[in-house]
Amino acid sequence: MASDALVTRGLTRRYGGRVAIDSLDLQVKEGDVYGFLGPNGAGKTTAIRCMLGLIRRDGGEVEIFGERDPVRQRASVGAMVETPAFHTWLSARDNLRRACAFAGVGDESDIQQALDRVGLQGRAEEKVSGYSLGMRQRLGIARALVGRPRLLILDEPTNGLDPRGMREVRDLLLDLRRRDGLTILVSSHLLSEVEQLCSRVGILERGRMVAEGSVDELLDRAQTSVVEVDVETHDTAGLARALASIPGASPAGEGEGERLRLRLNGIGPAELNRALVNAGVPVEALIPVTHSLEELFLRLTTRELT
Amino acid sequence: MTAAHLLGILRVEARTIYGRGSARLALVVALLTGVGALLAHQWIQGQAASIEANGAPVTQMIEFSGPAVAGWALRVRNFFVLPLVLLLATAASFAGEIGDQSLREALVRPVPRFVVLFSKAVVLGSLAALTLLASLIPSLGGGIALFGNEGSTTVPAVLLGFAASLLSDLGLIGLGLLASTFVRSVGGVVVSLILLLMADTGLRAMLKGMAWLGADWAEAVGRALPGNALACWEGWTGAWDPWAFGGMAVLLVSSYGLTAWRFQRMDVP
Ligand SMILES: Nc1ncnc2c1ncn2[C@@H]1O[C@H](COP(=O)(O)OP(=O)(O)O)[C@@H](O)[C@H]1O
Ligand SMILES: [Mg+2]
Repeated sequence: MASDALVTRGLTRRYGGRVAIDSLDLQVKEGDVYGFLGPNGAGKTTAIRCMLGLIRRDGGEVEIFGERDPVRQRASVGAMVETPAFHTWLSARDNLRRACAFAGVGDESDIQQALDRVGLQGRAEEKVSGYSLGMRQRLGIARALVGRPRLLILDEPTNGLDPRGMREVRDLLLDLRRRDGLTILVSSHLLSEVEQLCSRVGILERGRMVAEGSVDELLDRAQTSVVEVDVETHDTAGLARALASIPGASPAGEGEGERLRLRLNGIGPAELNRALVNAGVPVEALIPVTHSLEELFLRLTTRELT
Repeated sequence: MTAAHLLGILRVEARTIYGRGSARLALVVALLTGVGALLAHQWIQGQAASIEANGAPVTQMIEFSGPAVAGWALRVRNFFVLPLVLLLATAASFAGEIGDQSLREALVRPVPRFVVLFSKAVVLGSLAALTLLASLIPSLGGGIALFGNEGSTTVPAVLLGFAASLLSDLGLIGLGLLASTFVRSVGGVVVSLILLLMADTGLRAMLKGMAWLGADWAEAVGRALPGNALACWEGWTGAWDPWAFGGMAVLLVSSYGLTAWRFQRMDVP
């Protein structure tokens, strides 16, 4: 049983009257790569700022490796929040030296290692003012790595990177998890980019955690509650008529030729098939749709629209 | 926090603040005031013996001695330019870093916020002290070498003037840090402090008026206000104003204390 790396209980932050994060309970276990997901504006960055003590919280608590003291708990954390900012008139290496000094641990070889890790070893003496957005993003990750953290908190680290850069960051995170045994919390609004990466995910919507668990758990839960099926028939008009009298089945989106996707709520594929045949619809194929996490994500975060 | 941790922070903070254009400008301007005062005296002595004012040669009205030259360097240093540059350096290292979010890097580390503030104040104070030395050494040293040490202005008096100027600089830095917790841009801090000091001037004029009308307390209060406290160094010529120093003590305690209090509670996104 892995112990907890990061736990929040009832974390709440309001801006004026608006709740940016609402009683957030989150649990990252040691060794996890935790995907902190949510559409833009869901409150991911706000939650991360609260965890790091950058902004005031209106309620709740944060525990990192069992430590409750906000200053001491940051000793085991390396973080990058939103777009990383630097002292741009200093070299990349000097910026990492600053980070090292504030961390209070680490030396020149840690700095070199962090630069190597993100592929900036050749450009370390240049001033950051000449760095591109992508290079700054990598330097931000390198900066989170100095100070010998056990937990990395990265807020949308692939922001501003091209597809190849995104891939490199993904590989780097996997490598940090496997080789260095780091625990990682990585936020994203793009589910596809963390789906293969994360052992666990939490999905945030309008400041609330709507689902948390391992990727498999979430998919299982999705399969048992609501199922989607593709039905193929040449009598699409008959299918549409029949659907009106079958409770629990409704079209999910536009049909495509002779194929229509149906969403099932409360009935299974077998029952649907029987009901359609009884209604005289010539069902040629009935295919349960396996969900990607992306669909689940979209469904969970747009619940009020569907 | 260990001593080594704190020293490491002070070192990188010094590297950062001294690496800024505003710090270099402050040192260059200070050096110019020292060297400039010296060269001006030399030029006047050499060229202006023939210039007369009110029937007497100008050279007889000017004191030529090391301490006198240093006194002029100090006046020129403190007249507007250098305090403004120090204020710029202060605002850049606090309001500027909050505004461009580079301060975040320090705050996500295992360091209490008051230590972050303390390290900035120490380095900015050291910058102020170095600019005073840059002004003092060429003017006093060069002045003694060229003109000697005889005159009504004494070395201890002018040294006290420089020491009191450090106090004024620390007060100004404190105000700049405090303003940085309200306004998150360098320009905003400078403008708000200029407005504050203008309001202070108005208030002091009003208090003077009240004193003239008979309210005895009003004069002392006016002399303790920040505008006069920041000018406490002017007393080096002979008449130190205890109210200015009292005001300076209040200014130092309240500006740094309030800054620490506000910073501790502030959102620094
Ligand atoms: N400083 C602020 N003042 C007011 N509202 C804010 C502030 N920062 C964030 N918010 C609001 O809080 C919500 C969450 O924002 P954010 O945490 O940035 O979302 P995410 O990172 O998931 O995109 C948004 O509705 C945003 O408008
Ligand atoms: Mg965000």
